[in-house]
Amino acid sequence: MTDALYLRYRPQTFEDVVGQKHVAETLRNALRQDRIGHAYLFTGPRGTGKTSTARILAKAVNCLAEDVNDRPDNACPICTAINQGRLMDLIEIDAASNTSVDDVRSLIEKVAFAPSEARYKVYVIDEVHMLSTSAFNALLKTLEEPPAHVIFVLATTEPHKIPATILSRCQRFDFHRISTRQISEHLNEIARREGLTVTPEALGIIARSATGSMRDAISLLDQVAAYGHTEIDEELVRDVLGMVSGLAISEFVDALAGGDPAEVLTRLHELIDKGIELSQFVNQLIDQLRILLLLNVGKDPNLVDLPDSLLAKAQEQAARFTAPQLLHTIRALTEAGQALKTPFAGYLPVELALLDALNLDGMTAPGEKPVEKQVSKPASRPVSSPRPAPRPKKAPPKRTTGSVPPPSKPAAPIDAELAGVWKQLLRVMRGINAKLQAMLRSGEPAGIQGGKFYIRFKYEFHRNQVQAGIDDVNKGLSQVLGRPMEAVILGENDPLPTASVASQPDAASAPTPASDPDPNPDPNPDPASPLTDHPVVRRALDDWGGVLKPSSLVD
Amino acid sequence: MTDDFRIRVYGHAWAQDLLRRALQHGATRHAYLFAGPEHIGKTTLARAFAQALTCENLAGEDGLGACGRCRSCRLAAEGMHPDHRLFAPAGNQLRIDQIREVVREAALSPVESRYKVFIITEFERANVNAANALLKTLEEPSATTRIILVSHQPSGLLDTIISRCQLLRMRPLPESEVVRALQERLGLEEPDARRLARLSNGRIGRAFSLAEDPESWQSYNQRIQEMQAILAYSPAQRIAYAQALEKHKQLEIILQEWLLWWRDVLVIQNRGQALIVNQDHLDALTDLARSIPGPQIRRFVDAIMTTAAYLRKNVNRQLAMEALLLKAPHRE
Amino acid sequence: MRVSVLQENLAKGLSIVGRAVASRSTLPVLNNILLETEHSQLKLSAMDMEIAINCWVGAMVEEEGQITVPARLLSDFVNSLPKERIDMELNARTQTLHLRCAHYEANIKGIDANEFPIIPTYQGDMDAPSVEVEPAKLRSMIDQVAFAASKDDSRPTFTGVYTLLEGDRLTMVATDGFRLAVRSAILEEPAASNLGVIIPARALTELSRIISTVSLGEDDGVEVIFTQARNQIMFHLPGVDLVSQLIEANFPDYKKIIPTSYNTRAVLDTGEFLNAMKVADLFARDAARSVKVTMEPGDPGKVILTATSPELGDNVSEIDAMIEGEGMNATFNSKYMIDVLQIIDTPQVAFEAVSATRPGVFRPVGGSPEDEYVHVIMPMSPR
Repeated sequence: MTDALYLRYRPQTFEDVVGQKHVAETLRNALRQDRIGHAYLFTGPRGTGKTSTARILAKAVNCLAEDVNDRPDNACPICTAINQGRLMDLIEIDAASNTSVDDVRSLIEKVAFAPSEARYKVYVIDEVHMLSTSAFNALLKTLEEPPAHVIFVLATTEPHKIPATILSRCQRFDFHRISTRQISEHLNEIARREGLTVTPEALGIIARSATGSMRDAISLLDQVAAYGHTEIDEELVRDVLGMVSGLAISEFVDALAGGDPAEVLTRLHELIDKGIELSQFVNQLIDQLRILLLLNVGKDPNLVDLPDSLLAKAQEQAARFTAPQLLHTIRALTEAGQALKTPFAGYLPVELALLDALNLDGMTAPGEKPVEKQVSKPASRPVSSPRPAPRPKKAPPKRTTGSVPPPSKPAAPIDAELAGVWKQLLRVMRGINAKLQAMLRSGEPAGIQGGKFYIRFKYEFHRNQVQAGIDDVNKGLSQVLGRPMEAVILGENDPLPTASVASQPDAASAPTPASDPDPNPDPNPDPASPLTDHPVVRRALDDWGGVLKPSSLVD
Repeated sequence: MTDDFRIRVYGHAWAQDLLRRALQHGATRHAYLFAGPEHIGKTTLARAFAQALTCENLAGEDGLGACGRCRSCRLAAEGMHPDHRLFAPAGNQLRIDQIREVVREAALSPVESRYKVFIITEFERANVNAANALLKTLEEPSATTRIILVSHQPSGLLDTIISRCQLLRMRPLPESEVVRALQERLGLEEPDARRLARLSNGRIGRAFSLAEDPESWQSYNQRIQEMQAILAYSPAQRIAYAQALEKHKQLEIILQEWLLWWRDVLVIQNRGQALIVNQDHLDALTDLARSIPGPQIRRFVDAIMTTAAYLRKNVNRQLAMEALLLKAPHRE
Repeated sequence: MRVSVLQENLAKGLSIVGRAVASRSTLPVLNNILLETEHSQLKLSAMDMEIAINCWVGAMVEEEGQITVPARLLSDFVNSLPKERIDMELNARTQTLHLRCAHYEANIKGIDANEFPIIPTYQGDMDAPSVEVEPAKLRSMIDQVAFAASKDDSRPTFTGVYTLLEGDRLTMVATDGFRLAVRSAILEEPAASNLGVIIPARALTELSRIISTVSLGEDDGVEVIFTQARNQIMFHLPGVDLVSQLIEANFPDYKKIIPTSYNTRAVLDTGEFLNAMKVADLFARDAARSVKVTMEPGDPGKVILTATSPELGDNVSEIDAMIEGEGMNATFNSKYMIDVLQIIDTPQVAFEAVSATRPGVFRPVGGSPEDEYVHVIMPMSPR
């Protein structure tokens, strides 16, 4: 058996095509009512069954079975000839290598010839969007008045590139991306027929990696099966795909939390030496950090889909990072993932991303970090592993990295954080003191540190007005932050009191301040400010396009 | 053994096992895609696989199982086998007429052996038209045809191509494998082999060509010296040097060397001495690590990568190199 | 190797094998010709990826040996020599061939003969299915069929000629999807087994050319050997072998395409039909080459060809014909009609049709009943 699995299991009837019921039913009805069109456009992502359906259609319209409901019967001489790829009246053309107007002209010239043995001559033009404009125009005339014996099936993954004039002359069928569940079920069936034992976890990984394409999924299964193991499990699939085990990822995250760059790089190279696929590893690491971020900001285990066995460890790890650290690391890794696509620098982009992530603190302006710690100090925190704060360890690199001016990037999440608190403050103030809220809107948040929230105003008038109602502002702040907070009013040019290094011991004396994870201290989120409004979460979502499940937000 | 014509493949043991098993069970696929970084031995594996496919007495248990003694194995090793067809980009791309040649010949029966094997290297250089022209053949070639696509940028391939192939994702070799290969094949001493292995980053082809070309090794050391000298150059001197460099044929390799060099400095600043590539320049690197602030180095590393990207996009090489050299850290 | 040959013989042999030298090849050795001494003859061989030719030239062999030398250089050099004896000697150490003829001398650097692919060579009893065909008959079969094969390499199946052996019948079939040519012949001795292979049309065209070049005796036949194990086919003539790779694919079920009956049948003069069609083609050229063919029963019946060009004008030709059955109107491609009428070698031709949308069929009239020829052309839908 040397044929690929996806060829062996290529659908032979309308019913075989997974996930495209709407197409199959419409085509079937058309057949029954003898209302076959002369031009079809099949659109949809790769591997969703466009070409297969076109072939099935070619069989169905030409099948010799008496009862139209039996067509295609895959038994008559016509069906057999198509299945063997030797029916002269089924002409498959890939538009991509026949893009010119001459190619289309020679095709059109031959369209006039009657079919040699079948009822209909079926032209399947794959990747039709590749045709040149003049080629489309040449095709247009034929599509307008096709000979009675001809059916065109145009297939494309990019329907937006098809001229409207062509679109309007075709019956269009949109093929849908196939769901992970449908793929996994179909794979399971193939595995059963092939006598392969595949664990559900392994099927899940394959189905997810296929991103909606059945052909990709079957090819992946095929690839894994090629190793000849009696049982295909998660580990084998990971090996084949060059993925790293969950445990190795978790250990790597521990190293990251430890904050020692040499240790992190050493581990990275250990993995590279084992032959992992770096881009897969980066994706897996990002996925894991994303989970930590959700736990970190959300405090709600329902936000992530993790079994209990892994949840505890993830929660513990989440507590060892701050949200900005996680965000920064994720962003750096995402960029590295892109950079890996050009082979020029090898593993270097990943090393740099990790070093950048670890040097975040060193690169942060002195005033910012303690603030972060203070803001995020929760009323009650989950117990996290007692360990020495890792940062003081970095003696040697500090000499060089310590002098780094604050780059704009890492500062951004902190500003966003501040802005988030500010926005919520304005919201709650409306209920407390509407007039004061109007005054507050003329100001802007300047910083938050040491239990103080600094607000800057340009005009004295506003300063005085707000100062007069400062108690109400404090009330609002504690409502937003869930702990006492004092508002301090600043003039336009008043400096923000520098958070002295002296404040750090204070911070360090608090249990694991550096890793305090909770920038959203409201244990019962105000329904008016759903979690998705939280700047950190919003930023996180923007960064990797994730979705927070609404259900998990409610509780 | 003087008449052993087996094509040796270093590393990639899992891939060799997989292919050998398929050969033993007569279960090889029509189409393969060997993907992975450059110079790690993808084409060598493809050639060894082709050799095994056409071997007259496939039996061996190591490598891919080719006997290495039959006429077919000899022709394969010499690159003279009439049923082995190697296609490489002509100039910058794989042209559609090359692919059409494959399509036409793939329909024909083999000349001498059981299989006709087509190896198409750097397949990412096939433009969309050429790649599509191969689709049908890739999907249903004749029973005696085997097609092996080789690519170091599988992300640049059409999905329809990838899913029609059995994909073997090949990775850089562990350093230890490269060291062993260099010792075995070229008889290098351990320290030399290790240095080259480090420098080549698991890219065995790169290690071999460095090792086999003493000049490249010498010029490498010289370029490293020059690069350190640049740090003290005035802007005018730097521009003069950029103009000299710009004419260098292998500018990308030079940039790669610089990149690894400065990466080493950064790594030392982060106390990763054990991980550096240029172990034999440890003192010079440490010295730089002490005297140049990390962020400066970090920015220069970025500039090198950006410049390399520019060069690939055919910008004015001289301007790009001048700009880069002006950004190099300064040291008296 | 030490061998002497006559310039004329060598030049002729080189021109025969020269057709198989690869023009562009990744294998340098295929740009060479293999010279090999064999039973007081010099064997010349060349091959590209599709075909290989062996040719034997009478020679005086003093020392056996073999070498490959660049085809182009050798041919050009030999063609420039006077018609005298050429002495050749191989320096085995340097793999250089020394040639001397009259006042000319040359050294040509070669490539070791071991690098040359193995070309099967005729060996008498080859233990493979084989048949013998009369050369002239084989040529006419090829000439009537091969042109109908497609020239489009993207569908390799159609670039070949399906060649079938069924008992004492040898059949060749070619189609490009729009026309189909089928020619069969009865063999003097039936084959031991039935089989079918697809031979690249080019290989047969070359074979036809070789048959017309070499001088053959009265009783000489072409032996056709199906070397199945190697997936090749060999044609053996006295002094020449042509070996072709086969196209490995499923050939369409061609019998289904040939209509089994007709409603109208016209018998007419082949030459007149051809001439009228050529005239019609002048006008059909920029109208997708479509020519309306009307068959009118009567006494005498008529075949009327109508071609209309939107820009050039129009043309009507009438040809007397014997019409059997009802009147009929169908449109056909003029080039395809001309192609087939040109190779029909009987004075009269029959043209049959079922309906305007079913294929039209050409058959020679009055030829040998053993040599059946059928040519099918798909009609075009009327404009």
